[in-house]
Amino acid sequence: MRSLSRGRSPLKNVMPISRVLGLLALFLLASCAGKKVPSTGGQAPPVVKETTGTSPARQASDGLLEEGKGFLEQGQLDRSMDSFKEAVGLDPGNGAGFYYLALVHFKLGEYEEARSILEKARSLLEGQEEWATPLEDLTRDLVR
Amino acid sequence: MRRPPKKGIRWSVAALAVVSLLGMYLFALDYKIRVKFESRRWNLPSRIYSDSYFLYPGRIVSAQATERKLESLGYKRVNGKVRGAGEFAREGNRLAIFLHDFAYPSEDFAGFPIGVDFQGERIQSLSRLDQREDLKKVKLEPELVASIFDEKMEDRTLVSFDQVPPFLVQAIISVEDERFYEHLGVDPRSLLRAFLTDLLHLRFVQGGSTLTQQLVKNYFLTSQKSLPRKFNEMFMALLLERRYSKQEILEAYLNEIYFGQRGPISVTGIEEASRLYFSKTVSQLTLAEAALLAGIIRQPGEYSPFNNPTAAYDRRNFVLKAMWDHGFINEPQFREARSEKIVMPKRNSEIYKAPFFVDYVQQELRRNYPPTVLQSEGIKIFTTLDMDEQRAADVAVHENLERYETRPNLKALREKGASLEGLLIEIQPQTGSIRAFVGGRDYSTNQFNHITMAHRQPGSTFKPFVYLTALALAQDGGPWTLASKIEDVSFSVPGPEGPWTPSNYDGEEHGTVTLRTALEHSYNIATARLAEEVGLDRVVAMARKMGIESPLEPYPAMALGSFEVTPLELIRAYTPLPNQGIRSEPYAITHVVTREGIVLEKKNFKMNRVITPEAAYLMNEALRGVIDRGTASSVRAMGLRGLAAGKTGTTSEYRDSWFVGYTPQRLALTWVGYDDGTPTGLSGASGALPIWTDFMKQVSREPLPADFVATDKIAVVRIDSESGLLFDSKCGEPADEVFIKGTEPVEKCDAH
Repeated sequence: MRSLSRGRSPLKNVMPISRVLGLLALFLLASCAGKKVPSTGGQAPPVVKETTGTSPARQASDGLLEEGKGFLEQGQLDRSMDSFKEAVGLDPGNGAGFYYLALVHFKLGEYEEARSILEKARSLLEGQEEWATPLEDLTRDLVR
Repeated sequence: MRRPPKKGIRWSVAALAVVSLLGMYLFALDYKIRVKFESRRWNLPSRIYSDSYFLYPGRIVSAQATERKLESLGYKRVNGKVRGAGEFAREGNRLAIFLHDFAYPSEDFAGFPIGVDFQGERIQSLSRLDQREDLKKVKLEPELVASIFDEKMEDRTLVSFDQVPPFLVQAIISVEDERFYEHLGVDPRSLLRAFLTDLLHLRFVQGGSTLTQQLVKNYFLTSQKSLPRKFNEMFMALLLERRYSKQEILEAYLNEIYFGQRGPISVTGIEEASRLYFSKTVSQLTLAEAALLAGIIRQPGEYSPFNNPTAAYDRRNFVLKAMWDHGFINEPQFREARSEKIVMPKRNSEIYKAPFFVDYVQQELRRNYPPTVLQSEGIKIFTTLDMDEQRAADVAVHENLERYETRPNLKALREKGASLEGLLIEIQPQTGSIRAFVGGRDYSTNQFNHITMAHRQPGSTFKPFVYLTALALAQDGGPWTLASKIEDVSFSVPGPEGPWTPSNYDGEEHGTVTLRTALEHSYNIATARLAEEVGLDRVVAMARKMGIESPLEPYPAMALGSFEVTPLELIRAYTPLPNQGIRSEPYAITHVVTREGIVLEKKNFKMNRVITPEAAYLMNEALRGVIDRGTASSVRAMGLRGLAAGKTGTTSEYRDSWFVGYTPQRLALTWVGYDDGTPTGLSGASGALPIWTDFMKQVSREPLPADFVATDKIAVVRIDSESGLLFDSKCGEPADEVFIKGTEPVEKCDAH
């Protein structure tokens, strides 16, 4: 490696500037290092739900969901259940899949399974307004 | 001189006796035929299938990996266009696949051609080639993992006569029994020819058997070459033809005849032969393929296209010529079939796939189905196993165990005959489905299923349950958070065998530490102290809720995992963590279906909430720290990126090496040790963890979410890492910590 100490360095005049830039860079780096979720002074961050809403797996899972809903409408409960199970197998964050699975169990009179799977659906769909009523309705039906 | 009358009577009596004996003999043969043939019963093996595999746009998988998948499903590569079921062809970035027909539990799927377009290592799009339609997903059928045979080990799938193409029957008749429709079960001309040939060689050389006789020999008798057996065969053939139609006899023949071997298994019947040699059902065979199968019958070993393609070609062409000579096909058909190239699927070298898993499934099945049923009724069992993940697990376990045995101490033990054992089980925590199951190092030498049958001390993998007990109490007003302080300073407590004094692995004491730090670095002293403070009974209760069923007594050493569990129950006990506090029951079987397609059993998910989602989230955060900063940090050094959490475990004297780790969608447990408890010198981090990491790097390719699922009852607060109080600019080191709302510190730290 060439020594910069030989002769007059063409960088002599700019070295102080480079030092400043280097320090600036270090300062910026230090301020970024260890950065985690910023403090909110005791308040909760936005609820972190599954961020896979538009992931390929979710889209494929939703496709199975639509199939299952079709079978459900036709009264083919066993077939719909298989589709919903495949949907959540492909994307286990798909709360709607668990909801419909719980619904099918309910329709089949399998109330214990329906309750436990509904609990799973609720944990994934919590905070999503459009699901509040269906979850409530099915919960109420199961209590009856 | 007149013959004395007594002699005439003697001859008459003798003749009557012979006729009677003959009559009884024929009656016995006829009875034997009727009893067996009426029921037309074959012992059909039951089949164990893996889970299905979905292709969808955006899925991270390469064209090459997809081709390997297809080959494992018995698809065969062709050049140019795909024309029939079971074929695939590659052209640039497109894979054309003609899907197999498959009978799923709830639908009979009819295959059609699809195109899969790849962009790099990802599927870009899917389309249906015959209807020019985009597809959102395609399901590839499950892989056959194992068949359950009786002692004869005959692989057979029944077909009806209607399912068999006429040209296949014609091909067989052309070369095996050209006068089948003319004779009565025995063909005198063939018999005479065979007799003369045998006479010339002074031994049995050539059979002159009709199809009916072949059926009798295989179905009722043995292949022993003897005169009495030959006579039985002839008489039974005549009786069979007297009672049953040619079609019935042909159908039985097509289901009975031997076509070769698949390892130790005999491939019998035309349907299994079609699958073995052409990866298609018998109804999908071409003329050329049918001719080849007909040719194989005479000498399966010699005419197998796997073993001897040239002989197979010649024999096939011989059959085609015979068909032409008999007028079954015309010249253009003959020439076209003769020019058809024989394309076979890649020979499956995996004779035994996932043997420990198969054992586990059989064990589950035996609760409801006796072995005789499983070996004879042709039941179909669909499971949760993902064969790609299974193979990745196999490789991870084997490669790492081999590597460990190059260490001097383990190499020395190996040379004395000891074999280091290991296991891996992976489940999807949200559903409980078992995706990979490697119960031991080498099934061929040791069938002990370590996952379900080994009772080993879990060591530090039990510690999360102690911390969970403390954190869960916070929601009921308890004092513990991840920022709470605990003394990692030596102490003694009364134990069942006298005072017990826990010590840390590094022999050090670390003073006052947070719960988070104690767990991340697996401090024994702090953990034991915490267990005493929260109450050992509470810890036992938590462990039970989470799924530990083995005997568990509330004595101090229990907090450090000094009791025994099976790996299966330990992984079950971890499911609530990535699953928002809901415990899932591991399961392997999804459906049990008769060969007629009637669903006998369908398994449902079994889950129940055991802890709050908040408690689960806190524990996930802490165990994430174990990987990011703590005893499992070598996961990162080995190159695994993305969200992951886990816990190492090492028992005293390094007898057991454990790692239980998870991402949001996968939970896997690995263990390494000797069956006799010989120390290995491997800690959880140096033994079990590399197996887990290698496995996860292979299977976890989809982008992971940034965080585990939280709720709005979780708060993230910046605290002073030393005091655990709210951070202030006057404090020391800041750290963000997660709390259940209402438990976060309210007091600011003092200046230090």
